[in-house]
Amino acid sequence: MRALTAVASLMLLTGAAQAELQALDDQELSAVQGAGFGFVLDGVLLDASGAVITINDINNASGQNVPISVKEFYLGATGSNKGANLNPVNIGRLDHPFEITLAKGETLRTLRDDGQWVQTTPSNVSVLEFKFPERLTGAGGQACISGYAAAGSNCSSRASERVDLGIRFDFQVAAGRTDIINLDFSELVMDGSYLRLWGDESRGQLVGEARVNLFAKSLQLMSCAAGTTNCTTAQEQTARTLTLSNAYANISLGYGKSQPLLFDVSSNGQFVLELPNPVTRAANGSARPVAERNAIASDFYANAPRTNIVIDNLKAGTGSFSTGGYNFGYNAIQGLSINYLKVTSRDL
Amino acid sequence: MRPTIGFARTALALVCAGLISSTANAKMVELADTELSEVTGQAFINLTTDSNAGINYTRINFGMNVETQLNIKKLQLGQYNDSVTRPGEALGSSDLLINNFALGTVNADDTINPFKIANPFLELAYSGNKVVGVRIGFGEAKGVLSGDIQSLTGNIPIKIQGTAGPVFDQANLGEKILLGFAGITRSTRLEADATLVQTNGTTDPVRATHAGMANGQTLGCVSGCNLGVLSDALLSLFASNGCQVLSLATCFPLSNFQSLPVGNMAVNDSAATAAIEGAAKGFFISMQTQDVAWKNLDTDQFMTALKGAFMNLPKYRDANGNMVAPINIDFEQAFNGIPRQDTCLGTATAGC
Repeated sequence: MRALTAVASLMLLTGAAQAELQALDDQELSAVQGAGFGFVLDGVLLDASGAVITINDINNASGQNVPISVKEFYLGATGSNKGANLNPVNIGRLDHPFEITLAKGETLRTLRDDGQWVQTTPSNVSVLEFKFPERLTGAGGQACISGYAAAGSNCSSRASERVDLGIRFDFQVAAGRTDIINLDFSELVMDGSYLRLWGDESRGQLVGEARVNLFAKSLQLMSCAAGTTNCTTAQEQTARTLTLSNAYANISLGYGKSQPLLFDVSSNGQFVLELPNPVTRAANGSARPVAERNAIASDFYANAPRTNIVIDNLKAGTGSFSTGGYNFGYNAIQGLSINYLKVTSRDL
Repeated sequence: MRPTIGFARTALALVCAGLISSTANAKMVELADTELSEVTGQAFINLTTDSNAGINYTRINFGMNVETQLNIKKLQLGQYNDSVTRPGEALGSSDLLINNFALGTVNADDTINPFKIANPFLELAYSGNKVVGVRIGFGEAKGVLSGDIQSLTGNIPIKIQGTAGPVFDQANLGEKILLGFAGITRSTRLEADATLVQTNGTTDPVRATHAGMANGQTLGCVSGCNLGVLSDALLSLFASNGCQVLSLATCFPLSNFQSLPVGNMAVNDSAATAAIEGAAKGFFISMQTQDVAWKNLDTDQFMTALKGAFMNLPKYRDANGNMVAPINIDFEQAFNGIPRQDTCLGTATAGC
């Protein structure tokens, strides 16, 4: 930090003279260790029920605009009854805040599914990290979903630090036809989520790894606008609602040590997202011997974070088929590991 | 205590330094309105609608080409007990349960044969203002799908075709004589359609554990039939019944088929085109609260997906434009199963 301040002060003093800037070599740069800063969101209440944002230029097959109206956004304390009773909420706390840090790769840790903390970022690189409140193992760990042990008890946010969150989308898909999607999260928490970025010298590009954790006591998707035809009574609204109970997702992209997440934009403006094969070739393009490949694969499968998506119960309407609903029960994708992924966008 | 103020001060200093030294930087030039109007966003998302039999559909299409090789330890959809919608099913069973699921394969040198996907989409089916179905599908898909299939609800056309050699190997002496009367030799090419069945040969698209010839289905003669049409006629006498033709087993556990081709693997894909040559169109997984007809993107015909969770592996077109079952296996593969291909890097081959 002191080194950074010194560099900044020097730049200020010499600005008028346009003195030459000296680049730090990699060894010097790797010694830069910012402590970063943390923050908590204290007394947050967002109520955009009177605001409408319209997204244009997403077209239909004929090239006609399909406006999407975004409305009824809210964020507040739990128990809001889908935003009807909003109160402020504190998100994060001083000993487990949101953080933006610049740290060496070997100092960062990621929680594995079996509760072990492991290093996933390469050593001797400076990593910029944006991080939600951390997860905790052992004493102090909170149930990530109250009353549902399968989601783990390693969240740092306490029950009062969870949020209710909602938003509504109106898709004007055709003349006289508007599809509605109302989303309402209850007791949402995202502890342990992060985005880490660093420069990969051998590839000559910015790379990273990301983890998005979502834990919710419930997520409801209602397909009608409250107060409109067939959507007035509680019974009518329930019949048009999909309910996900005790739902969580741990979405993991990238394992910095051997499979960083690469993002690029091609010359024609399309984005490219890639998770390279971690074992076949070194970053400089040379082939690896079998023993080395096996060792990297073994480390990759043991320590690379995996993606899990679990819905303890999914039901439509009342959940009873005889009354027009359906109970889809338990649904899960568990232990997803990506050996290779390349996504390239293109115009439709 | 965290040095937050110090960091902020440093950041501010860096910003100021950047501003002061701006004369050394290239100048940013704003675009005129006419120039700006020429800039168009990349339209990789669009929405399309459809309707059929009182159901309205909204499909969100993603203009993407995806190449992947992945493993999932457990893919499980629709684990519930409901005597109304799932009568007779085992308690705790699932509409779809595949262990060690994988897309794409890995070669011995750890290079990858990716599973290719083009134009994935998310579609909602509405009855009035009520969502009655959701499906995730691939406009085009090609590659190898692997897994230990424990139960499956859906549609998987299977064509068994090959020489009669393995059939002779399974037959007893009397049956070999009967086959001989029908003009069938070991080199005769036979075929049969197979589908999801119960172990007694009854068709069973719900939580199926077996695939094979449904009751009443017969072997057909493709070539080398020494009695011509008469061979077919004689073969038709041997309809599958109770998962047997004569004493030959005609139904097999789905878990025997561990690596399945999706699309026409004989056709090479061209890197020069966005389309995937030889791809199967219309692969999807859906969940619906009632039987819902979804559009097959290849034939533009609607096909019914049964209520609950449902997986559809569609037929694809061969070089002559004929619709071909996604799973083409010979009799040997039918009797012995299809072994799992390597889907893991390093020493493991499955379950990684």
